[in-house]
Amino acid sequence: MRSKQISHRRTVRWMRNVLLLIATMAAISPDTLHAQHRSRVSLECLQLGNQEVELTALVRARIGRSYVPMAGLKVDYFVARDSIEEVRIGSAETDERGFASIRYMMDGTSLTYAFRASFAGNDTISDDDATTSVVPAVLTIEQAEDDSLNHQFNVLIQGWTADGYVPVEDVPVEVFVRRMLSDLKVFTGTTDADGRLLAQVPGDLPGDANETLDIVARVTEHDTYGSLSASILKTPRTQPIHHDRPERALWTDAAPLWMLITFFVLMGTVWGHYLYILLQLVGIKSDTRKLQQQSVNE
Amino acid sequence: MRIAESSIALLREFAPQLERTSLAARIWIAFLVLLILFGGVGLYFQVKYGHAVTGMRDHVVWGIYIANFIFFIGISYAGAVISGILHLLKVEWRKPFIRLAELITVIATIVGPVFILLCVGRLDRLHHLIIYPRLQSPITWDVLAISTYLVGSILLLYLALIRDFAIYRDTDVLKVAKWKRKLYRILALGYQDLPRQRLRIKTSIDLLAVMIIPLAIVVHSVLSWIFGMTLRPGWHSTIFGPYFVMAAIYSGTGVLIIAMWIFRRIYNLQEYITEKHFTYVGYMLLALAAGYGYFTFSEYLTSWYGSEHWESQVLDKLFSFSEYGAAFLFANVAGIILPIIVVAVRRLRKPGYLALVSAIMVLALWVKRYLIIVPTLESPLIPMQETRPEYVDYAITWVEWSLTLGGLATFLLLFTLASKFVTVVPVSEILKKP
Amino acid sequence: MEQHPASSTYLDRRNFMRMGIITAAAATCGSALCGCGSKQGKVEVLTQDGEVVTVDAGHLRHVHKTVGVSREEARKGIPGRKFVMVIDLARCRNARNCITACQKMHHLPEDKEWITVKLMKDSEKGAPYWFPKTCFHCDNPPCVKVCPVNATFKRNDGLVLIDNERCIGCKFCMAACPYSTRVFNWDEPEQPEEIQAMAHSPEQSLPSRVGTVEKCDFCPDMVRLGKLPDCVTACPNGVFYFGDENEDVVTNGEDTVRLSALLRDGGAYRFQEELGTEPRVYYLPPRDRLFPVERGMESLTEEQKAAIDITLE
Repeated sequence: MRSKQISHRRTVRWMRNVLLLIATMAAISPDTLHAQHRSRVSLECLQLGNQEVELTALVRARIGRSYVPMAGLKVDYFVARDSIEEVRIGSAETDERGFASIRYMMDGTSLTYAFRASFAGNDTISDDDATTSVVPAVLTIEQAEDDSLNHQFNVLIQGWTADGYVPVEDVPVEVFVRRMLSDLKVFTGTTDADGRLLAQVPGDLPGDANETLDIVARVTEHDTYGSLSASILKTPRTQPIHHDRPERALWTDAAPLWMLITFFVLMGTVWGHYLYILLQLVGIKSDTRKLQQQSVNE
Repeated sequence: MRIAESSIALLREFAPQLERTSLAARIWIAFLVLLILFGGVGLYFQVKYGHAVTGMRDHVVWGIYIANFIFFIGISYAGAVISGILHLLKVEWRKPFIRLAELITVIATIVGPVFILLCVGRLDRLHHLIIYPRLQSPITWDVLAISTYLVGSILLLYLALIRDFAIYRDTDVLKVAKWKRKLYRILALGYQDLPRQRLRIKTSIDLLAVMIIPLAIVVHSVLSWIFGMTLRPGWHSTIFGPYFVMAAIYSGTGVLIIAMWIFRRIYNLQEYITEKHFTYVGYMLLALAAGYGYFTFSEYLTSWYGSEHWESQVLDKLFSFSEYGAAFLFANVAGIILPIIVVAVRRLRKPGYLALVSAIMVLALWVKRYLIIVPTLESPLIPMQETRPEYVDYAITWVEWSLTLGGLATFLLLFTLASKFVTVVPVSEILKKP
Repeated sequence: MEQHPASSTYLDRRNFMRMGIITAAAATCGSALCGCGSKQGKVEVLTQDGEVVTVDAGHLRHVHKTVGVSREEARKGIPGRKFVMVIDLARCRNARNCITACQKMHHLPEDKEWITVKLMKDSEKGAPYWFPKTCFHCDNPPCVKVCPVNATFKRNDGLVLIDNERCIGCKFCMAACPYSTRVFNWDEPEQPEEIQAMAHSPEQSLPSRVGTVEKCDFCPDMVRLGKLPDCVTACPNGVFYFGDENEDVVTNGEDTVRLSALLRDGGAYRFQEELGTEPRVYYLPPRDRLFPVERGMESLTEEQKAAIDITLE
């Protein structure tokens, strides 16, 4: 059903392109040549647990030889549950990096969800859409007993079936520690027959600015489940020693004390003497005045 | 106030200079004003179009302005140290030319800092030096030291002038304009040559003479530390302080000899500034040349012997005749060896030769200052690989020349004007021979 | 700010490298806006391959869209951070994308380089190599020491920045920096009017002002948003690693690695350690290089080639 819709859309687009080509060949307006840039939409589905998913679309347009992320474009999202007819679930506008995302609650009964993100196109950028299909699944991460070198965590993956959630074997999982600018991958592994995995995080890793380790387990674009993610906070064993900024150094705002003392002593001495000399100059004047007064009195 | 016979006689000789300005002097002053105006044009261009009109660029961030600055502050040593030392040692023969020396000090200390201001990109923000001061910066040290030094040398000059002003005020030999006489009266502070007043002046001068020497040393050391405190070859040297101090006293003495010679001729002071004076100052020049030469030798020998890579980059430039070789040779031959020879050979030890060699030496020392600044800045640690030729080699532009000439003209003009206002020989101190 | 929405970091991580280049291209386009005429919301932009195309102005990524912080805040730095850079000399082929990206980011004219790439040769028999150089943001900064007005300062997060509203232009910092990092605005800077009209922030190093000093700032405005400096993302070979020393992690946009391991295993050094300036930039020596050094000559003009005084042997 949905694929039919898409193929219909494709036909329309193809026909329009042919028309455009003819129009161009007829040289009606050379400007139309550059009027539209081909767009490319990609879509990723991340399952957050609790039946919630986050759909993130990236919209880029071809400029020159490369695809450039486009900001401020409206993306519509659709879902088709268990091959039931597609419904629109919302829309979002792309940010400056070209991303647009919405959240969606799964109903907890359907077995598969086919998502579609669509950009309708405008005067300058052509339309495009992207699809992805997932089966509900849950990724959990829990504290396990640490060993002498590592923090350890139990990771469990369960997928939705007609019998409810069951552990899933052989899913590649990556474990990251969140850092300021990007995440540090510390562990990769695959779930066992019980859907479990013991993940290790180096114990000597310092915490972040909040003095915590924010640990994230991820499954990336699994064929069946899409992307999964779960995180846990942990107190780090080590924390960087913050060497306090010296209060007074050559490069700080405030000067070293010896410098201040030297300055005041030197300047005080010299200007003190200047003051004394100035007083002498005043004295010269008053000496004469006294002399004159004396002579007047006499 | 009772005025000594000798002072009146002396004043009679100076009276024409103080009373009116001759045609030659007028032309001279007009010429200087013209040069200053030329400097003004340069300044206008520099303020309007930014420092791009100078030869300075990102590598050579300082050029002849800084060389001029060091040069003038160096000259200012003439008064400070020479008058200070000679006063303390109670050297009698200092008296005829001590005022000249002190005038040089004050005027050069006023003109010198102008050149550092010309290096400043935002003159409109100069007050930031006061509202956001940082004591760690050698520039702050410089501002403090130079202003203190200027006040000290003005005081020293003025203290010695008070008695002269009193004489100018009370004498009937001098027929000067009313405003001048009024000014003399104010500046004389009612001085009546009372024993008490005499004592006040004596203590003050004694104090200042003691203070001005360390002050001058501090000023020039601090100046050298602008360079010495950086991590640059040819600058980052522990002897830079004393080296600059020595060079300063040396060039100051040279300028003093030139001034003595000029004023001796213009004002016919052969009677007061005698050949003997030239001989004595010549001996000082010889000693200073030797000291300065020793420092120079020590500085270059050390870095050449160590042959550290970055250091050698600068030395290679100085020793290579395709770059600064000729200038380096001139700076050292004309700046050290020539004066020594002239003073050492009795037949050459004459006022004329001494003044001539001093002039050459002073020029050589200016070149030397240039050689301290520019080759170092042209030798960065990281290769330039620069496509813009004006960024690679420093070339002095007409704006910089105009302001340099303007500064020199200001120095000469202030000197000329000062000599129209006060006698260049202290009339109160000299006892005219019968 | 510390916590990114899960989704964007997620996609970001995977696409970072490709994205980086593309955004750099976008940045190139973005600033071309100013050069070309704009009419009715449509703008002509210059693409990477030199083609001029017309696109909707609103759809282009803004080049320098960052949060403004107060001047006081900009003097303190980002709390709890200690920024560090590692430059892998083995990966550099003098592509010079870092230079152009930096120039776009900071609206610098073509001849003003805050980041430079020099051909270096340490000894006579040693092999030449390309040497990218940012500001080293030294922990014992000679430039900050000599500033008479506190216009250049060192922040708690390690960055050395310049307040060009305070700078008096004495150039002492330029003479004091042994690495020729600083540049001076010798005349009125060539910047678009809207940039010149901006209020100055030491974090953005914008706008440039005549008669003042400026230099590489490690893009603290970008970093505050959790984004990498533009030179890092622009580099096609991942030469620059940037990160927070306190977190012991650096990233070049593609790989995220532990700083301590990178420094240890890579045999990292700091340039001219003996000068005692304690740079915050480390270099990984140019061994097992990805490219022959000759490759770097390709991106140079004849003039630039002529200016290089080192022979490729």
